[in-house]
Amino acid sequence: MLTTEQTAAANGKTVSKAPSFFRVMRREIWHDKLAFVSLCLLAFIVLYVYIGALGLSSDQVVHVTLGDRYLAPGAEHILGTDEGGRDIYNYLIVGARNSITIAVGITALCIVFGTFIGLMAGYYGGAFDSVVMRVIDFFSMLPTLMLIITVVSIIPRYNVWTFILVMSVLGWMFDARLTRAKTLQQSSLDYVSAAKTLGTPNLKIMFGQVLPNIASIIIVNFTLTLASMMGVEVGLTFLGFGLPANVPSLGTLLAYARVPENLRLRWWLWLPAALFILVMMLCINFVGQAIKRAADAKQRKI
Amino acid sequence: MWKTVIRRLLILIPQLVVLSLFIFFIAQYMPGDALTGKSVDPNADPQRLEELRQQWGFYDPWYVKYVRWVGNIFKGDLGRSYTHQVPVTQVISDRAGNTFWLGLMTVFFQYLISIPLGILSGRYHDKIPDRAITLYSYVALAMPTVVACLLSIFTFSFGLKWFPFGGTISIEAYAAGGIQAFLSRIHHMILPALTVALISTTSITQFLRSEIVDYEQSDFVTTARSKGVPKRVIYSRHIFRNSMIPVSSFMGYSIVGVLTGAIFTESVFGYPGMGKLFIDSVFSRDYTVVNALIIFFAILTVLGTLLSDVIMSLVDPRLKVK
Repeated sequence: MLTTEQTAAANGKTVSKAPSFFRVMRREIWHDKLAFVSLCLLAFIVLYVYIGALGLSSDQVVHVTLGDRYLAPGAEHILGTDEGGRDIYNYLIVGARNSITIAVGITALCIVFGTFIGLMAGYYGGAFDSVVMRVIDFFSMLPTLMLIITVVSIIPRYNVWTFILVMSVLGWMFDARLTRAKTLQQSSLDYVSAAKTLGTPNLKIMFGQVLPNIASIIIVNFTLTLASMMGVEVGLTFLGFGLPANVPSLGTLLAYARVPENLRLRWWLWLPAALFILVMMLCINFVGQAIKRAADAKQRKI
Repeated sequence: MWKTVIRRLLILIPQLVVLSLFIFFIAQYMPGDALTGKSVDPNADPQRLEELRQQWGFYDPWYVKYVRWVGNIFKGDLGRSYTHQVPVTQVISDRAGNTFWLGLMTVFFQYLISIPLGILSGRYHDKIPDRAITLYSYVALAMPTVVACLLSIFTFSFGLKWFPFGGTISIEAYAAGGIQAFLSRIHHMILPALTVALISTTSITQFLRSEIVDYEQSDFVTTARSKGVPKRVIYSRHIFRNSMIPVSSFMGYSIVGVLTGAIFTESVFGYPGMGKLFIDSVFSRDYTVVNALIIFFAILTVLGTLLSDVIMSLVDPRLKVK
């Protein structure tokens, strides 16, 4: 069978090939200066934080030097020190690295699990779909934040992995719902019926054909979920229910501001972390919007 | 439509049963019980405590305990708070008012800010006002609640000293009572309400904008235009009036969002509402309060979503509640 291009070539006409999603994405980001700058800034921040954190050991960061208590920013400590004489700049670098890594981890788990469930539900439909949808309905009714806080407070031997697990278990529903809706749409299209008629195994259709067609939506969803997970992690850590105390995050730095004295007088303890989070989230959102436009032609400007 | 509302409420029942089981089992793993709280006399005879535990059914099998717990809830008895030593219903109702008024003010500000922004953004779409508003929307969307609250306290409470920090009322105003007390309460609520409202306008603003842009291309607007209706009138009479209606259905979602955010907002602002009560109770391991609040918020979440769906189907009969 001839493809559209071959037919057109045979008729002596030129038909341009539909650009791939990644090409559209590159074009969208390149043309949207804000998204381009954000992407560069984001890449710079991530590299800077990860390389910077390489030279710092956790012990070095949490080492207490009582003589250097609450130093204002100066030559020796660029961002000053906290009550234990710990350098805030080092704290910020390690905290940012942990926050980013953990947010990516949670998001990846949510997306992988949500996509898998959503694909199965949307593709097979029927009883399985109904059960999955009831489960999702049940989960979306839950006051998720409150449950995370409660579960975190009662888990014995609580560590980073349990936190990631708790967050993922209570966070995958939205991704599953989205994937299911898109899969349902795709499943009614001719190419799926054709593949079924040809006897292609179900798993192969799901992951080899439907998944690539909804990949752009999943990528968009990844950026948006990433931003929201970072926000939630920082908020929870701020309240004291996020990462355990020995794993500093950006929320740990923000938590200094829970003491009114620190909030009012010692801005260097929490303000850098606050601004850092803001910049990160803005960059992720700007890039996310550009990718969203690339995935959905309706939102593109001509 | 009432049939569907009733059906939705009926679906709520099995959901609540599952949730209550879920919470009940979490509660089984929670350390401590009503007799290990700090309020119990440390010199109490351990044997006597043991007797009391047996008498109160501490060693009953889980299903007996569950049925008893649920039965008590239906009798309006949510148990006693370990730390406050008063019934949970009283602890919660003391704080619920604060959260309610703060939430009301937040939703009010939310609409007050986002509707004019949405109209401006749609009216002048792709022009400078729209670009500015869209940029603001992105910043608002990117701002985590905690960061926004900290920045606004730092700037407006401590820096500019425009608003007080913490509590619901100043001591002098409380003593004075009357109108002064009322004003002091309002004064304490403005900053948290405004902060949350400012960072949660995005969905309403962007929705309104796209509605207006869509209506501009609709047939009845073209007709009005060809009849020579002035542009100003087209916008105010034809477009805005139509696009404003669906915005009202955001109300339910707004309420849910504000209540969920209360956990963060109230903790940062030191505002004694249900959100702060929840965090404090988790810290003091006062699990009867924690469980009651979780169920309370779950019901509110469902009712809020239902409210939005009902409004939606009332203002736009094309969308049927399913």
